[in-house]
Amino acid sequence: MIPMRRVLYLVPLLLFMVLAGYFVLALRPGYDPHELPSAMIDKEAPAFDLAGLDGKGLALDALKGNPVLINFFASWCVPCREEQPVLMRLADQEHVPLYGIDYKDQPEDAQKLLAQFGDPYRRVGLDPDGQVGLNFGVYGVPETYVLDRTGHIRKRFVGPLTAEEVNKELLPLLTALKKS
Amino acid sequence: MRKVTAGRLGVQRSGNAAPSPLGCGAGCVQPPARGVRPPPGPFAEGVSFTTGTTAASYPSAAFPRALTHLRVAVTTLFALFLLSLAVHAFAVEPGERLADPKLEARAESIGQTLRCLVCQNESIEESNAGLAHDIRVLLRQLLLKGDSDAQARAAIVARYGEFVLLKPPVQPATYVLWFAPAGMLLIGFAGILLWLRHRPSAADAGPAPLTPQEESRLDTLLREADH
Repeated sequence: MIPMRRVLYLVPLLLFMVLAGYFVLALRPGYDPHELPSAMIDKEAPAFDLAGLDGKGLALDALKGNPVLINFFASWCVPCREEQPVLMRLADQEHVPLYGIDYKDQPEDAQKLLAQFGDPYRRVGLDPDGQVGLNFGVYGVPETYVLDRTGHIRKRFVGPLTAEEVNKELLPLLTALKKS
Repeated sequence: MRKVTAGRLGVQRSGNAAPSPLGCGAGCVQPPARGVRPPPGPFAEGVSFTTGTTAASYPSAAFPRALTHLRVAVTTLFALFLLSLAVHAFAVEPGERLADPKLEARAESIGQTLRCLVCQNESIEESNAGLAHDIRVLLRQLLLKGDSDAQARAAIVARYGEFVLLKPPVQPATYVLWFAPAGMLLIGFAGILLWLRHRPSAADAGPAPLTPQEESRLDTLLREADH
């Protein structure tokens, strides 16, 4: 039987280990404390019917039937440019149905951006006052939402999509959604 | 009060740029994606306020030193207080305000409990981020529509999650958050009580009384010392 006093001496060490555990968790690579879980997961996406960049509009109802990606972007958003090559690859090589919503932007600026960096979107809807973004719970651009064939939000990616996120999370999810 | 007004104007720099209450019109500077912070309050004014009343106005010979120090301390505190008022001034833009003062007061009191998700430690009423503006307008639209305070708050929580509430609700998932501080305090008190109880008292702690042999030896030693 170890005396009680000896055990008490171990308490600071245990407390330190718990604390260090939290530090390790918070410092793990790829963790961003500003990244928030979406409150909209598994809920129906808020309906929208937007004017389009090329004259054709973008409405939620027209997207139902297949799993799709909706990417909120803007010409004034620098991380969106960083994301553009990943989106181009998604559209050209993976043939993922990718739709854009131009968030709080001028259509001419968005057109310039797409002309310069490439246009990965099947269609782009204009959300000049950010109302659709507000309904989706967007709190910064870029954000990418995965919708299943019934129009329910299944996942949200905050910030620029990385190749790693695409390979490890996005593509497997899309494959699963296509089968379901 | 003039100082506070100056601070407000500073905070709502973007006020003139957004003509419509709904988002950004032509020529509006778009918000950067993340991390917008309001500029600090009128720091320079606060500082000049402190020095103006202490050193310049009263020659140190006329006042005892301690009193001067007290004055400096009090004026500094007061200046800091004014500064804090300026920093916490609302960022609500004139165009966003509701015509009905009662409804606007309700909107402001709800808005102060809602987090701006861009700055994360400011309420939407304090933040001048674009998103805070959008949520302020949405909140006011909901109230105009006739929503109760709880309904309006719930509509915003539905979009952004409970993280949007600056004060987390008391529910099983947050019990640790709410009750851990009081619990830790109780554990601490219990620990102190236990320690006090089991600590050997001063009477017990003294040296044991001498045995007869020791007594006689002490006597011998003392007698030897006398000689």
